[in-house]
Amino acid sequence: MIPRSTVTNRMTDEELVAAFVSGSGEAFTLLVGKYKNPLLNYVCRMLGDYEGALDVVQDTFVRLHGKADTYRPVAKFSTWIYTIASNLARTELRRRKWGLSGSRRDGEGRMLVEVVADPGESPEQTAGRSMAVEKIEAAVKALPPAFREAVVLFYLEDKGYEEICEILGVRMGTLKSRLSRARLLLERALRPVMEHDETD
Amino acid sequence: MKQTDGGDHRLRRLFSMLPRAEAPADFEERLARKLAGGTRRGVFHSLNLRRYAVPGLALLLVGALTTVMYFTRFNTTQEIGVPSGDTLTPPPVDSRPEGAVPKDASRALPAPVDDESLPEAQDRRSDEVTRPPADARSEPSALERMKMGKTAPGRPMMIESIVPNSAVPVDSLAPEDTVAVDSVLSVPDSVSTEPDALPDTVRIRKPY
Repeated sequence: MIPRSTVTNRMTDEELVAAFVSGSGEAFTLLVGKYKNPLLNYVCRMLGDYEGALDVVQDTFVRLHGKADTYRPVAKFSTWIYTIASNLARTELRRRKWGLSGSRRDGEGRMLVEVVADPGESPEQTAGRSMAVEKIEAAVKALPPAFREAVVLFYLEDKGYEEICEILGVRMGTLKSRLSRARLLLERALRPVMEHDETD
Repeated sequence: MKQTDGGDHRLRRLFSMLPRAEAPADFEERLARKLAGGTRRGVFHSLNLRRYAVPGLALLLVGALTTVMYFTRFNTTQEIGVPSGDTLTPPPVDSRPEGAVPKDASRALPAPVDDESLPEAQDRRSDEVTRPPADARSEPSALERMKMGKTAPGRPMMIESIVPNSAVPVDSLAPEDTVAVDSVLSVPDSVSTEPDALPDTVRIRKPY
């Protein structure tokens, strides 16, 4: 058992979970602080609206709070918590499909964050970047959910193939196939943006 | 190590333009409220019944529609007391002597005017004289066809009641005359299947 006073930022996730299970609320707070933004980013891309994603991420931490004792360190903690978030996001998407969710439907909610102008950037460049971001967001949102989650984890969350397979519960071949097909769809949808990006 | 290729590189570059989502400042407070509220969630919430709302409502709707259809379409009771919904039970064979007038028919329907001077009565008498005997008829009458279910294809019919002296003589009903009715829902007890016991006329109607 880890004494509460020894909980620090330098501990690994698995150690923090163990500390939380042994009664350290501080360890839970550290885990929340470490994972809230990456999870929010992932779920936000999955659902397409910010408020719904906030709910799902909070539910993820509620699950962590209630089920932390079931965590076995056979897999990385990040894989485990991403799996929880992924399952909750899928459930939320399914609810929205059947109109059972209290949250706003896909596309109605506020999207992520505004594009912030870089200090050395002209207003035209900022506007162009904003339009490109909108197109990328729309292209990701138009992907089928199975492709979208793979793309977000691979390109945005920078996860490896093995970890994504564990999070999504699919085989390597399935994941590669999904990524390949998603890439084709994205390249088709984002061709003008890519060409514009290459000319810059 | 992650595998990448040329397409990956371009996509990664594009995706790097996307802004990252950031949790609001009160995220921890809201989470704490949710955690506190989570302990108050009862059995009803944990059952998560909302997922069954749509199929449950659909089943209820189908059940209600079926019930309404049953009562409006089949559950009409005829004047002679035979529930018209029973289309499966064959009608009992009438044991009355041939040509006997059904009791129920005279009770259920207005009494025929027995005035021999009326032109209709004279017409009826002439019909009776000219009608060939039952065994001499080569084709079954319209009523027999109805009772055998051999009406016009796809358009079975309902015999509402027997009306002596009514407007349509049975023998004058051609097959094409019976096309416009809907279904044979029942044949009253009082109607015999014997050709000679057939009433002169029937009144037929569309059930709806």
